[in-house]
Amino acid sequence: MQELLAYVVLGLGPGAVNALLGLGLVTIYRGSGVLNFGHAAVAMYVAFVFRTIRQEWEWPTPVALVLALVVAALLGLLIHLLVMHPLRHAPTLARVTGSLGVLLTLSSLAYWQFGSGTFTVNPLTPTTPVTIFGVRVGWDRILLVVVAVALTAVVWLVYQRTLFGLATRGAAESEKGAAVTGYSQARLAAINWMIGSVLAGVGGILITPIARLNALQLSLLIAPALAAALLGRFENLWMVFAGGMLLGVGETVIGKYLNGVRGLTATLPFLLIVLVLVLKGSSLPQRGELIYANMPLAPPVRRTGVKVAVFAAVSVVLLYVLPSSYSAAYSIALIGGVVILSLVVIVGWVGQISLCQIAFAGIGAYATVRVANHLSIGFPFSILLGALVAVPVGALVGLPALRVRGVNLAVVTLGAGIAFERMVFNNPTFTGGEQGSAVPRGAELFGIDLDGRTQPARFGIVILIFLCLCVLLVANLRRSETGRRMLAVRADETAAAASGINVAKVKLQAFALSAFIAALAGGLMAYRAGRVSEAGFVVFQSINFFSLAYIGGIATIGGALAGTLLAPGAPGSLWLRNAIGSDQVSQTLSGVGLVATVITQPDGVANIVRNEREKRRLKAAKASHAAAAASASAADSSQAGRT
Amino acid sequence: MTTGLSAVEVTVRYGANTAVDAVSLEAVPGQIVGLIGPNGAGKTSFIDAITGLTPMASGRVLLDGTDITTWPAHRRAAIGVRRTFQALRLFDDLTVSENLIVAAESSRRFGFLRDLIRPRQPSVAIDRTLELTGLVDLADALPRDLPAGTRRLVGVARGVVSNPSVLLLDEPAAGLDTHETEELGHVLQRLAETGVGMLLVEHDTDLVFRVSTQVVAIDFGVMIASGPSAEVRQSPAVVAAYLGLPLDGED
Repeated sequence: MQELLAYVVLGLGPGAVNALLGLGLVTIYRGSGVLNFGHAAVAMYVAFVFRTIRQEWEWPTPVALVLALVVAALLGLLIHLLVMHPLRHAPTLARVTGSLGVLLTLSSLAYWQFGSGTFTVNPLTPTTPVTIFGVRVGWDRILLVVVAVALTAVVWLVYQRTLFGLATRGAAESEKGAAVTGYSQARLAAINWMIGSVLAGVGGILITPIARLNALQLSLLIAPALAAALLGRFENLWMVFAGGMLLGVGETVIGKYLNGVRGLTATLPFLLIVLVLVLKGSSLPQRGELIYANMPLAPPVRRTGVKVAVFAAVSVVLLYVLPSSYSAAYSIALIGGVVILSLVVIVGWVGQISLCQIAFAGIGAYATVRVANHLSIGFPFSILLGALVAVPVGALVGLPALRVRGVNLAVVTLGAGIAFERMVFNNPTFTGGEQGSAVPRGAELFGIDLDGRTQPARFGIVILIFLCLCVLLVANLRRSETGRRMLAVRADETAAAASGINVAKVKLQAFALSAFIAALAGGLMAYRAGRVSEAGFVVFQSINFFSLAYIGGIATIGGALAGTLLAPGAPGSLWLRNAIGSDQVSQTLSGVGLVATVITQPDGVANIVRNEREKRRLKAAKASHAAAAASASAADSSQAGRT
Repeated sequence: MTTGLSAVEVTVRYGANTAVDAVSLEAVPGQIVGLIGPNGAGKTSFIDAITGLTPMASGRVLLDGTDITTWPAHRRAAIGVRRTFQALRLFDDLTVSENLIVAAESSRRFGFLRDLIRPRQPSVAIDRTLELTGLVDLADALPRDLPAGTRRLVGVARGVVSNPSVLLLDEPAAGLDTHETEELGHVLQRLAETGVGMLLVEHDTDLVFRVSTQVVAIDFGVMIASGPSAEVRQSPAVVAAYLGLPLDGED
């Protein structure tokens, strides 16, 4: 009992931080309707600022605290004004991408400014614990819980008792609701963004003396924070608090009793998220449920054969002509292209936001190595078999998508990505540790040595072949019966079901195919490097690829593929790094670029030209319809001019 | 065994609120049945329940004698219960003809895998439907480029293209002018002649009484009149609850 209590106490700190972050998420959501995926990144950044002022500059703690929280408020205001406000009428997909852009920008900015390591933060409280009911409790935990309770109470009171709170609650119902109380929607949103970000900052500052400070790890606290906010249905602040605490305590307690299952604790928030969302969801959107069907254009594919042939020819030349560093980078881009194609299927054509594609690639990579090692099946069949392993996994991840849609699905798949990273890729039982992750022999076919390490250009051509085949598959799909069904589901699930389309089947097929394609990329990665490195399959990569595909135009094969040139390690980033001289700066810039693209081109860069053409076509079409209608009913010309 | 659609005492509840209360009706092949009622009378909820888009609290739905009460929406559509939507809900990224094709195609075994390797040309016939609805020249247009009246017709065409047993039309004349409504009436009658049974939910009572053989009137979810068009038109309950005016003055 005593021991259990000790673990409960241990979980109080993380629990309180979940609660604080969840509280901030809800504040921002209610104030502006935005689900901020960069929220924990704000907490992380503010924690860095606080540490720097306090420990590096050695300014007094209260001053550091005030300054750091001012930075938090400004950060919130900036994100709102520069990113989310311009996107307020944009489709869900654009808004999700915008806030993912914030996440990427802040974490790479933190890398650049403060370094990529893990930092210790001096404690804020006396280090000697007190003993309560026979259990030793650290002052830092007590402080965290007290602050979390106090802030939840304050925010709750503000929303219940003040005109500002009333206006915010009104605004959450409808924009007019806020206007009635005399507050402008824009101002309410800005204030709530500042409050929410300060709450995140407090959480970040208080947790880092306990959990230490690492840019990526802290940004991923978004998962438990989202889980807490969802448990409170983005409404009930005390439920958010309770949910956050429950997650924190649950994590340490489960960690104690189920020590053997590595990473299980990290999957707890994910499972909770899924459970809540699935229970709340329905198999078809209900009447009155708000749906943003507004997706980027998915124009028909034309002359794929010719385009693929030209692309292949140019690529072969590039692989051999480019200097070796760029040739290698080009190979990396080609593999990235395969990952991006997997996104075109699931996001572009079926409209399901998936933030865990890299997890599928990781499964493909490890399965390929396993197949090659244990079944003695060689290249290229090992890659194909390995990719088949990912198919049921893809379908499994797709199951929640049958009842969860839009931004909530993004939350679920992000959670899945984190769960895979912690539970599978960081788990030697699965990965086989150092030994298990090497391919037994390099690629070879018909006696031709295709080893990715010794024959990089030749293996580049192997990758190219895989990529081209995938392009043909995906293009075929777009032209086919199944492709039409996918676009129908994307446009309107209810109407699709009423037209005899099995929406669940279409979604699962898409997830399965998407996982298969991503897993092929994983197998190629394994053969290219000769071994698998778990570092390649972090959830941030999934977010990266999602963003890149989105920038290019996620519903167009060519556009999305162009995005891969900016993938980490690809020629675009290599060039940027060489030009600037720093990896971090170039990553920060690409984060900023992502945000800028989303705001200016919500359909993706590939559609700029198309949109222009479309506008002209539309004009012409309207004119001709109007003319036709006018001539058809000359006597009764009422039809003309209707749109 | 009846042919066509029979709805038996269909009841729909949203929480404590009963939207449709034990409404029964039959839609026979080749005939148009009108369903009228004021705003909020439960007409759309009735269609949603029949097509499986909203759960029924009680009652049964049969198609050609088969009990489909518990079937999911897509299966009901597949055996021949189709509908249109008041808000149209066309597939915006597909052309007019693709909107029809996707609604008419039924999935084949391993079709998904075959589609990856060799997508085949659509094999379903849509030409007749395009002709009947007058959309032949617009087959390659995108729905969003078309005027509202034409888009309504695309919705109707998508509903009938698979030769359903019954088509449930949810306010097909909403937003149409007199001329367009008249044209729609002709299209519906032409389609009925091909053997489709229709349930016409519509505010425009003139249209309903003109094209329907049978009419059912509901108010607050309860059936208040049912019978041949001319009878229901004279029914005092309908006049009182819904029309509010003596009918003779309208024509």
